[in-house]
Amino acid sequence: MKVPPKYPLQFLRWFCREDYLDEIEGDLMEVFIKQSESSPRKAKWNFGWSVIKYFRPEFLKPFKKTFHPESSDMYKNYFKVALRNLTRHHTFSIINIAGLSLGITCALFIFLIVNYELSYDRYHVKADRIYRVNNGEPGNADTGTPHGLAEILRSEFPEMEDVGIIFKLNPEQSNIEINQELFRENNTYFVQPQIFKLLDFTWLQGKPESLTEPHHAVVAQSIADKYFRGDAIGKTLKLNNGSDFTITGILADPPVNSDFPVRIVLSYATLEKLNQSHLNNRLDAGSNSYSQTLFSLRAGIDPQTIDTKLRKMVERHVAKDRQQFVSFFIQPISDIHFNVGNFNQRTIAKETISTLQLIGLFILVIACINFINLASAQAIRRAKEVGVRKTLGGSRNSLVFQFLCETFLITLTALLLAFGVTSQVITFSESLFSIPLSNDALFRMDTLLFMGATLILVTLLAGFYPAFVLSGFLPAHAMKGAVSGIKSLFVRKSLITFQFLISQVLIVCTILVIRQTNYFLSAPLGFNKEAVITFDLPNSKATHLSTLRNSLLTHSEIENVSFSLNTPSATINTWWANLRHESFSGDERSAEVKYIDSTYLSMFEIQRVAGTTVLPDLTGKSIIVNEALVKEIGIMDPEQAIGEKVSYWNTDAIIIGVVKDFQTVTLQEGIHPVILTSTGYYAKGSVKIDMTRVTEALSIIEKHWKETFTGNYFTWAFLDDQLATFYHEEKKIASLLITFASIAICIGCIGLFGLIAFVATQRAKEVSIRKILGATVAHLTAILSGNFIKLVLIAGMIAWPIAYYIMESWLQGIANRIELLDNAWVFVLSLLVTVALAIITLSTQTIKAALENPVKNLRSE
Amino acid sequence: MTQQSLGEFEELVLLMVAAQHDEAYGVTILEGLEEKLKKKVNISAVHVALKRMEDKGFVKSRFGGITEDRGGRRKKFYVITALGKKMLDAQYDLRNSIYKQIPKISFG
Repeated sequence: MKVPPKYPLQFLRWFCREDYLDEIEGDLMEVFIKQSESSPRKAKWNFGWSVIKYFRPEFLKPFKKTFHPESSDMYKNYFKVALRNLTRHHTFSIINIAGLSLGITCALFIFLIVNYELSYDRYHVKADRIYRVNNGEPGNADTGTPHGLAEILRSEFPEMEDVGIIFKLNPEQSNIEINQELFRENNTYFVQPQIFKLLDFTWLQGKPESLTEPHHAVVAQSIADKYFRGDAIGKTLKLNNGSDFTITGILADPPVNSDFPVRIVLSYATLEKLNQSHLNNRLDAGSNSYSQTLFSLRAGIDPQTIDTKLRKMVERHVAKDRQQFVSFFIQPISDIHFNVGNFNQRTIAKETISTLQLIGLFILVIACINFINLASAQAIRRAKEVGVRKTLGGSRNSLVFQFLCETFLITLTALLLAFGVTSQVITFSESLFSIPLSNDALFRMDTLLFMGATLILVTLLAGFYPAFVLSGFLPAHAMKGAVSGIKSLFVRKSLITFQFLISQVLIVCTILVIRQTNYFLSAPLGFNKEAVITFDLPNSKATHLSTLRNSLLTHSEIENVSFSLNTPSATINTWWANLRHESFSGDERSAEVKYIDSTYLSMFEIQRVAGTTVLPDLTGKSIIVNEALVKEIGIMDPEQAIGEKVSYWNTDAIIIGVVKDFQTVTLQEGIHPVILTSTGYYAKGSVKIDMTRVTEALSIIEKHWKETFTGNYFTWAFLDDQLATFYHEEKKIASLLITFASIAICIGCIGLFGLIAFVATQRAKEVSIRKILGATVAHLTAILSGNFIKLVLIAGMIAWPIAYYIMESWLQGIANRIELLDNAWVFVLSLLVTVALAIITLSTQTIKAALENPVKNLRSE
Repeated sequence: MTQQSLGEFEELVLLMVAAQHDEAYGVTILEGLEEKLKKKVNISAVHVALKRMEDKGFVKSRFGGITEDRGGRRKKFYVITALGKKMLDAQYDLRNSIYKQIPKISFG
């Protein structure tokens, strides 16, 4: 068979006038066939050439109608009919638009949140090749690395372009003195100048090189404005009653989406000069989690090779018997926002982000389902129109296109509405979810692209099925009004079930997350956290402390005073030691070390189990341990642990007492082995007060504290408030879930409302006849809404196992968790709530229908 | 009114249409011309000429039946109109009369 070349032929058909096409194509074919008998190649070539020669004005299609001849009038007609339909059935239009715009608002909001969280530290020019070196193994890592690491990396890793240390001071160390006045600035860092080659900061004045000198400082614009009225260069600030720093530069404040929110930068060289004890050059030395080493990889180097080289480095620099306890690995800078230990202290788990995305998608789907249900339920109304259009030659495709146009119109309206609503509520996201979003984010290119994609997706998702159903009517049946709705009824029912399934899963999950968060806040910790006020201790000089203790105790408002390294549960000053015991056979375990004084155990009501609770000296050689440590060293009976020899760090110690386990870290984690001992070093003061006289107690504490530690910055906090801050992340998730779950159920109810309104008018005659024959209002209401309630119940049954599975996996990693089986009532409750909401929604219409005078509906036929 | 002019190639095509009375369509015209002119002619040139002459009213066309060998496309047959014939006659007369005025010249 001789076939002419495909593309020239397509091209010809595309541009050539319809009325010439027969002649031209036919003649071309004839010539082609004749020619290809002698030389097929030449024939093809000739064919293509001829086609090109036809491409001249007199053979072209008229421009206006190039693609769809005579169709622009049809478009006008589609839109006109769509608008008429929207205004005629305005209740349904409002329901549709409201549901869709709610859904789109949610999706948009989630998009903005996710985008914001993912934007952290992506703005650095070298962002894709900056890494942080972590201490330990992935999953059990410390973000801090020993001081000596940076120097070794610089000399032994040519792959690394720049290496720098950035070290954030703990809040109690971040007190600065300016003109004899004390302030606390939480974002104070010691930084090596190399950091400025890695991370992007805008230098308003000064140069990074100035930080190579000790006692130099650089401040952010906000600090310069706050303390020096913008004129900060050359001024002096004093850190913690100690060294002076001259300000040599001003930085622009880093953007909000930075995990390096520096305000005051002090030269790291100062630390080196003062030779502070933590500047240990040994790689197996302990490290401060906030002293972090960053580096940039040269372009084109595989980051995986670095981890291997780090292992070899450990072998070179660490004594043989210690090597097994030391390891490092690298983490891309774009990843540090999702782990604990970044300087922003604002983390979000990657799982939370993907959960949010999923919720956004589901809410959008729920909104689309509303639309599908209403549109397919109302299909009968449009049947005549479909019939007429088909009779007049409308193809199925053009009908599908018409209905998609209508959906597009509705979606566009909903989208614009959602955009407006979002721009209004976006400012509340900071207070509601502690996510600082701004209106600028709405007008960014990616947001607009997302909205465009949503528009198309929703139009297709919501519009395709109704368009498919409507365009499938047989004209003869449609005109007679004999359209069967059986098939679409099944689809509609499954869709409603699906909607309520999602709503209920969301409700169950929300309630359980709230329960877990509340459990975190109320779970027994093994110590007393009520009526305790804590404050920092600038130093632990024995004379200072005993003066403070004695003067405090003279007041009746103060019940007890204790000095310690930190409170029983804490996130800072948690010191971990390597624990050794003969039962470990050379291995090491880790234990938390807490320095306490003689009143600590009694004040926090930590129970004694065996031995004594009195520490005889300040050598750290006599220790009290918790039950978990006893178990760790393989002893069952606490009494037998007394006198047992263990060593931690390099101290050989004897267990003299055992106390009950108490929670030392956040409740997500379990109980760790703990060593309680005394060395005379304290950083935290805790005071038990009389809760009926809080104000007096506070002023007493402040007065005596300031007398004792003159020239230091005083802050205080209630212990229970402080503990509650550990669970910010859970609270944030809970508040997001509450919002989105309520919106999901709201959209579901809007859809239900629309459907029942439609069904009630459809079955008006039936209801009237039943009423005449003696049915009661209650009975009629039940008949109308029964089917829907059944669907909600089915949805609930399916939702239970799904919600159970989801929550079980969420709770899996949490040590102190609620048990799902104890919370079975949550599942039942969520079902009841949903059913109740459904009944309320339905009854607004059903009762109205049942109360109507039958005459009204039966009068005319 | 379209100007009553006839280009050289148009005239050839018109002559061919007239010669193949009622049997003339694109391909036959093309083949006829190629045979007489002894050179390749592109079919598109023939179509362009036909369309122009149809506009000027020298030819008129009708569709033939559908045949298999043209990919299901109909043939379009062309017939010369009275105006077209008059035009050919006028052209012929014009040339003839001028030709007759040529004095007897002998070339070698």
